Amino acid sequence: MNRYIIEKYQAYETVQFYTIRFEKENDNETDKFISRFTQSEEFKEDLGKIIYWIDKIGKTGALERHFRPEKFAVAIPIDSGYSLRFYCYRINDNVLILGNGGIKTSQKVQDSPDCLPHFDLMNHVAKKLYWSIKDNKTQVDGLELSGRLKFNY
Amino acid sequence: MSKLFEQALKQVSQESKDFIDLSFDIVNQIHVILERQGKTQKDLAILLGKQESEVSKWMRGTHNFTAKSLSKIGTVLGEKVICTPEVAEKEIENHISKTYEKQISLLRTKISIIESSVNQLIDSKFLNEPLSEIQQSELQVTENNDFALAA
Repeated sequence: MNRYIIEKYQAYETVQFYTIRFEKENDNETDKFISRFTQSEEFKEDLGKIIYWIDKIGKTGALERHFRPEKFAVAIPIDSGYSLRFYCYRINDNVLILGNGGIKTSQKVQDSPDCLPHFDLMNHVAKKLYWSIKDNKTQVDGLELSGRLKFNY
Repeated sequence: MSKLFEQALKQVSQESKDFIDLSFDIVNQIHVILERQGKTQKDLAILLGKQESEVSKWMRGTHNFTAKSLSKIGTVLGEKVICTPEVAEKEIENHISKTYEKQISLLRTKISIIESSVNQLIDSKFLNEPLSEIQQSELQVTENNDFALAA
């Protein structure tokens, strides 16, 4: 069984971004996403839009209306035919968990093998965190998460 | 802090930044209008004859709006969503001139009264006081041999 940690990623005045890192790995999921698509000529531009979008959200707040619901989690969609998807979980306007993403090649994410594992992981994180916060095992205080932040996958 | 994120952010092209900035500005403006009118995204969807999910998709800050969709949103909400700087400047000028028209007219009347009073004072000094009482140093002889008060 794999075990992952929710750890701090990037801090802004309005939003604290967290990411997911598997205990046995050095790189977190968000850095893996950036590393992969920075090297891709085809998706470099889309990656830039996602990165800048995250930067904007950090300054203005992770407002619900900016996200696309994807089961439990949410996705950052870049409209107008772009197929790169990046998954995250919005806890509130001030705390956002960033994950990983991939290339969506079909209408249903279940038919997009490049996206599906990242979609599944983020939904797992979303469910675990949702119940952990509800059971008060994980606490949300302003921009900070504390308490239980390690989960089995 | 992620160094990789910081590096990637520095590499974002100006074109991508401008696109996201503009898209955010537009959705924020639509949101402001909806709030001001006490309407929701669902109301906007009904007014446009669209699905709520479609409007919700537009409001995420990454949508590539067309002039057609923006003008339609403006029409159903009865307010412009975006405005070019030149048109905005003219509209602001019109607004200012309408707002301050009365005050400007009142000020003009006051200025004209003050001007008239000043003129009367100047005239009375020359008409009522004997020339001898005006100090010599105050008078200058002009090129045309006229008298003038020194500055």
